[in-house]
Amino acid sequence: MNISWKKILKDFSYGIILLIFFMSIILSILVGPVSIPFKYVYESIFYQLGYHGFSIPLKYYEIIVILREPEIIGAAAVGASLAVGGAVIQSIFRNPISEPYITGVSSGASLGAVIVIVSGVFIFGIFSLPIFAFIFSLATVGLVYLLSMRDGRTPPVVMLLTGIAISLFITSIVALLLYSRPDMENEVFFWLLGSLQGISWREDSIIVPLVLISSIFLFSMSSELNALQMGEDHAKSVGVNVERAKAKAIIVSTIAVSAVVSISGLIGFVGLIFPHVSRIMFGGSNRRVIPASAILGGTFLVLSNDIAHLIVVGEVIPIGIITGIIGVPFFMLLMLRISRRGYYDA
Amino acid sequence: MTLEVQGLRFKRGKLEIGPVEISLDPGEIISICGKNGSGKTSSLYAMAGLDRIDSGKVIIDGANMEYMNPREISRKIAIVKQEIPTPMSFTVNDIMEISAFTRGNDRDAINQSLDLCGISHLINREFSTLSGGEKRMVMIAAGIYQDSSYIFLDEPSSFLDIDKISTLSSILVKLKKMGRGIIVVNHDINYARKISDKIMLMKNGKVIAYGNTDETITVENLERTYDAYFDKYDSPEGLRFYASSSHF
Repeated sequence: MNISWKKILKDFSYGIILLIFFMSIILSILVGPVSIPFKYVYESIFYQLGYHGFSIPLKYYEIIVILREPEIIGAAAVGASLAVGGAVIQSIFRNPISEPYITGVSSGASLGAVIVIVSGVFIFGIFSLPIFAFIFSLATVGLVYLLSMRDGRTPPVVMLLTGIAISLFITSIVALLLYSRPDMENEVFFWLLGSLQGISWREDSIIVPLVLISSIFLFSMSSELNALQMGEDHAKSVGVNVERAKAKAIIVSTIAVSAVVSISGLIGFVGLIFPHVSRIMFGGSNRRVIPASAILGGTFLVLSNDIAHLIVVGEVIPIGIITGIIGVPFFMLLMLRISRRGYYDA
Repeated sequence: MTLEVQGLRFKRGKLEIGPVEISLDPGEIISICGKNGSGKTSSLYAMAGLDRIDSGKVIIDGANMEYMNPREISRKIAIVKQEIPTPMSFTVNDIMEISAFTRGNDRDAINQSLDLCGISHLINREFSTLSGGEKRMVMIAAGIYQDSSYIFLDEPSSFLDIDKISTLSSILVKLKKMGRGIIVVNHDINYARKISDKIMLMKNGKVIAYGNTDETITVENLERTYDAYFDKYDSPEGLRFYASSSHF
């Protein structure tokens, strides 16, 4: 009998990536300066799920539940949100090199964060930085959207170029603010590089439901996004209300991505790469690309976070550095694959 | 049940197009012919509701298109554009499924549409790896699968091999028999003459002639449309027209 491993792999690949996702979450709990026996890891998980028949030393339980778990869950949510946002933005702009930051999310969030850090204004208490980052991020995307309007339409190319131009403009303002306060450079630098350290259940309680709901909503728009990928005229001719669908998808993905960025800082490459990995593994329909991107992006950031913890003993490297260093070679390999199979016409 | 285009006028760039008047019945084929830049494609897009119009209206089966949403229009009109889209990693099947946006997908109907175009073997192929002619056929099949009352095709024979052009003719004849109203933008006047019930000739945005094929395709009308000398001769396939000189 001829067993086609390729087909088996394809049939089970959703299961496989989901399994890897959960395994990476559980194994990541082991990663950190204090080594914890594996038995306490799964016992803690069962304990949290309501099964109290274990005796776990309190110090281990606290490290697992208060320090490590929220950061890992946060990493998964951030990765999922960025990758789903990437899949959506690439579909809308029909552009394989676009990513969720392209509409001004990242530059807007940086401006908000830098204003808080440099000015020392903490009107929202300890949440001032994420709240400012979030508001400025939304405002920037809103501005880009408005400036891209032509006769009630937002042509993708115009919006892409407007996004790039506005982002550059805002980045210059960020640089100017930094230049005025060199003593703050270090703090800002860390935020800009992206870091998941210090994410607690409080942040998770906001971003996890937000990422779940937004991802499910965007998944429900798969047909519209597929149609948009064929071009706006094609989408319209098959019955999609193009401007409304685009606005809905951009607003929802921007809210989700802005929220995670305001907490994690700028983490690159996840939003660019994982939609492509998903397309190669599962085909181009967003019905498959969106869930796969969420799972793969989440897994990648959880594992990158582990590397950030492990690479230098006693220190945590900003995760943005790790995703860049792993991301680029990975992306180059991917490009080989893409060009070999004629993935894109361009 | 008719598609009526009444006094359609609009501007594309510097070209003022219209007034365009067309009446398309189910099971009827109308060809629009004319030189490049004469406004054929723009008229087709405007009639399909893709582009803005300045005045006039399109009445589809008694309803004014202006007050219909994209969903309702798509049930009435499918349009197959001349440009081939360049999506990221879609299979032929993915592209077919997009055409059923307003309703559920139907595997049998997908297969029938692909079959009609002679490309059912391509269903699981990656679209970007197909030849230009195959891509064209996929887009035509997707337009058919949309299952609208009227179907508009912009230069459907471009990129097609000669043998595929006869396939295209038989597709159009079958669609006609199925009762679909068809508008085709066409370069080849002899081809248009063979397949169409009515012809519209355009030049610089204006309609030079519109009416029944035999009455519209005359040497005089063609000369006015194309700014060239035309001639005709009797061939085994019937009357054929050709440009005898491009100097007028």
